[in-house]
Amino acid sequence: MGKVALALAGIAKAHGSNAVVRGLDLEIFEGEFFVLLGPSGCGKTTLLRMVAGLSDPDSGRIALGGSDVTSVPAEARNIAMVFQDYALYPHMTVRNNLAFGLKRHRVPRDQIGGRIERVARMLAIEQLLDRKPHQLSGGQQQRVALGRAIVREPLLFLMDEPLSNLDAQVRANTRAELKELQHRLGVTTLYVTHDQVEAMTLADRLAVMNLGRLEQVGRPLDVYRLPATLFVAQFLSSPRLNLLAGEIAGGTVRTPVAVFPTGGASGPGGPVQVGIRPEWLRFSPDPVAGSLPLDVALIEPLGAEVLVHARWPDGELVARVAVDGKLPDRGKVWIDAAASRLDLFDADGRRIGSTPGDAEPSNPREISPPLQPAAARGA
Amino acid sequence: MRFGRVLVAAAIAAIAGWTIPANADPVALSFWYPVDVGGGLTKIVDGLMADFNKTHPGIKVTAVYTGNYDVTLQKIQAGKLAGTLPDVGVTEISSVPVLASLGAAQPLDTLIAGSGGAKFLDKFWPSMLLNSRYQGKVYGIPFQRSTPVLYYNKDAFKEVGLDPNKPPETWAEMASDAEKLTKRDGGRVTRWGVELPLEAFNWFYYALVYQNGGQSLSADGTHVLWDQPKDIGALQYWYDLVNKYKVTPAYTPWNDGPPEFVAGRTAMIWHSTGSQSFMRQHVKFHWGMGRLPKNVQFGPPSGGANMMLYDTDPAKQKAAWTLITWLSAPAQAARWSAASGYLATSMAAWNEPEMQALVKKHPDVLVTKEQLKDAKAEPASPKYAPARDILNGLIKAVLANKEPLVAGAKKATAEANAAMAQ
Amino acid sequence: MKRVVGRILLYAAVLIAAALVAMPMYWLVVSALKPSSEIFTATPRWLPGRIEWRNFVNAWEGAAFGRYFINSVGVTAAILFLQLVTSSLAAFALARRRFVGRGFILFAVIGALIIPIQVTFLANFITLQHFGWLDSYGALIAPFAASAFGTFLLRQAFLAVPDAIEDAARLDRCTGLAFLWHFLLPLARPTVVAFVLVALVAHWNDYFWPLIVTNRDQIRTLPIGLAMFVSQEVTTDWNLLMAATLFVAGPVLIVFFLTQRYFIRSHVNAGLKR
Repeated sequence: MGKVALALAGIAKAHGSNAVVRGLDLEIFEGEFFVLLGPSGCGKTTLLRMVAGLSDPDSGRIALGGSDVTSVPAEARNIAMVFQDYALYPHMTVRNNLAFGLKRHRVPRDQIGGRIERVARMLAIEQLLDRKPHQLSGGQQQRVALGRAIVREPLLFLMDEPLSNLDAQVRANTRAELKELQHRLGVTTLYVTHDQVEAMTLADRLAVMNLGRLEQVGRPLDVYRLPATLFVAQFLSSPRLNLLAGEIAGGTVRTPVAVFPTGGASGPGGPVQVGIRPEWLRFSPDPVAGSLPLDVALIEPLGAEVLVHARWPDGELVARVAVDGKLPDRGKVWIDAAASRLDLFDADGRRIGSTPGDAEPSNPREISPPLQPAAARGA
Repeated sequence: MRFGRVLVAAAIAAIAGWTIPANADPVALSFWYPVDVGGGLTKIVDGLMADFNKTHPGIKVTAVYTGNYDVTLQKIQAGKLAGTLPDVGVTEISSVPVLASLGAAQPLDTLIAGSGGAKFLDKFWPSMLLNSRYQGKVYGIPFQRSTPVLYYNKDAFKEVGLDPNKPPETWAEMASDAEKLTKRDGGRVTRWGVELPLEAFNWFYYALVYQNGGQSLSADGTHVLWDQPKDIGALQYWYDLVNKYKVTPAYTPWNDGPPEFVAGRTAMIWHSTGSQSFMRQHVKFHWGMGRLPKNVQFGPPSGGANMMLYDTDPAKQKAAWTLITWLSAPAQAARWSAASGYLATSMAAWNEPEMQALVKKHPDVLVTKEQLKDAKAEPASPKYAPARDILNGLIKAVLANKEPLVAGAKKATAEANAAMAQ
Repeated sequence: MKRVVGRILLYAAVLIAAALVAMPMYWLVVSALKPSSEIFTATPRWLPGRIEWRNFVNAWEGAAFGRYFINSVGVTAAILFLQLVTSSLAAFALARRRFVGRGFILFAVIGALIIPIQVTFLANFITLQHFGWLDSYGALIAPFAASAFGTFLLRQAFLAVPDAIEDAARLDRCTGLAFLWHFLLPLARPTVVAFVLVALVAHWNDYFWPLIVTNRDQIRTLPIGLAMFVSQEVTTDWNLLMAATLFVAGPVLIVFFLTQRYFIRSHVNAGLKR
């Protein structure tokens, strides 16, 4: 790990009586792409604005590059931000949108043109430089917004759901480009999103935020594999996490639909919450001892995989299954308890442990791209 | 060198000052006047003031144009509060009680006594002094005065078989002449018999009330009398001209009147003596002037503006009074009258060469002189302004048949009396 | 067929509207060119039989128009400049800053909007007298240095600028007055242009106030010169009045004409989503 670029200590913020951020600590390293992931209303945008200096924390300290900037105004922090709706300057051409911040930062005039050209080339917006924002498509506006941040060469990029206004195809492309670009520029980036796919694909490290607190901080696959809380497991699950009530007794986890072996995972006996990711749930076409027969209600093809929805009297379970797996189209299935992997949580949602199962998700590429830890890049 | 010259100049000044002590700084006076000056009257006023300054080395008058009558009044009212009053101001005659009760205008009785007392006032047409007093004291000296007359189209009279040298003298004659003179093309009137244009001061309403032997304002100035029989009768006659005989339009704006007459769209019109020069300039047919007709009596109203004095400082008062008396002396009164079309305020002014020449050229103007002996005061009291506007609305509504005459007059009377009582 | 009829009706309506607007202008110009003998005719004459250029000479000499013109330009320019400065600063604070008493001040501004000048003129007059400014350019300019109308109008326009723009500008080191100058005023340009034109006409044409507070010809303005041609009791010389009206209205018409393209464009832009 490199040097700490941004350090937050004990940050709290309330809007009236409503606590939005509750005593939060976080360190982000130089060159790192850090994603803050959470549902809307979890306080992630508020946190981002406090880092930018656009709003002040009620308590806590913010340090940037080792120096305390808590009371430094936004305009003096040398941070650039990409806004959700881009906030391009409507009355200026693209060129002036890029140039404005440089002029205000007293960059020598003879350097401004070169820097704009370089960034425009990097983002392939050279031919748009003389247009006004309202003459651009959504994707083009997004690039300009990015360009405006990049051209400033700031200490820190802040991005507030910058891809959320793009349509799916453009979003996927831009996501990949953004990741590549950030690696090339090496500027520390704090990125806020509610989209777990964005978080998993972009982040060097990520934090899952809920109700003004960080539930878990870590590398995407680590967080994915070992969710610290039921909330994290649910938030990172797609489609939704299968949740069952269970009880640990005598080396097994007993649930209404099946009895699973703990595989050595131990803990105090008693009631637990059982989470089974769709990709770690295994169905068998043949009856399995201790398992209820389930009715296949729906099969959703996703391409290389299908989602199998199976119903039991009190609910429905979803499994993500490779197409080459053997499954009847219709009829009954049983849970393959020994092959399925479980995450176990206590009544408060804290992780107790996992069962081993088959260990690997059915299609790892879809969920987790090849991971490049920050350290591996030698930042 | 320069110092020496200054020294010499100072010495000369000192000697001059010592030898002729009377020649101190002249008293500076301001003279506020509301009148249209585009037609060249500004030059007449400037010329009068230049001559005054030349003949009165101890006084220097500056003339200031102050807009129309209403703005001039507001300017003086504001000036009273801020202490920026003029020395002499010309305002519409009904403003005498307004500005006197405000303590802005100063009573002139002492100054008049010093200039011959009653003998001084007797030089003016008596009817022109009717609007000069407030609570027994004299405040206003006539300056630019007018009275309405009847202008009539002699060619039109001949055309319909009327005697072109005998304008109507009574209400009945005017109504019947007007019926003959009114020309119609189908349902459309191409020439009205007579027009009575309406302005903000409701001149012709007062004229009709006087002609009918009535008064429109109580003697103490506290309440209006528009619901009294003679006032009702006056408005009834006007209403009949419009709605019974159909010889008069319901509404003619004041400034539209003379052009209507010039264009032949009305055969007779009541208008100010001040419009004579306009008529002479533009009318292309034979025309004449007559007195406004009578019903039980002749009763032309007074109009125009008086001079009032605003100084409290005796030295300034003296200088301002010198200006007022000079302007109202026969020579200046005749000069102003001949140039402006306003009536000569001094009786002796008619003997001045300018007036003699005018009479010789336009014998008709004697009608205006003759009418002066019958002229009546314009209703005025300190709080009359809102009543003036209410009456204007009443006249318009009744003539346009938007309000019944008697009930409307009663309602307007109550309204005006309430407003004046505040 | 139906569409053709609709088009014809539309064009007819537009032509009638245009004629209604243009008619008085045409009549103004024609009357100013007529000899006085042609002003009052039984039927209106649409063209002067003889063009009387002397009307302009006579009108010009009827009042000190040269001096009045310079005064009108100076006074109106000073008023517009001060109003823009004060209104935009006040609107900036009211639209984009939170402070104690903001609601009350906004309420007061709206209140000031509905108060007619007749109510304030005495107080203003006496205040100016205390300053010793009566009968000076200060009396013509100072009472109009701030505008509730402009403040309110600009506040509404400034409110419409998204907060994110201000945040973005701030991170680009553009805050406070620089933000007002580089963002709020340019983004509110249609409103600013409309306000300037409305204020221009109002103050260029103001007659009552200059007449009340001035006594000297050297500092009086064009509408006073124009009023000198309108008589109360005696009939007006319409051809001279019309010629004088052209002196007064002409410069404003020229300003409208010169800024017309820009004015129309700003209206079109105002209709576009940014």
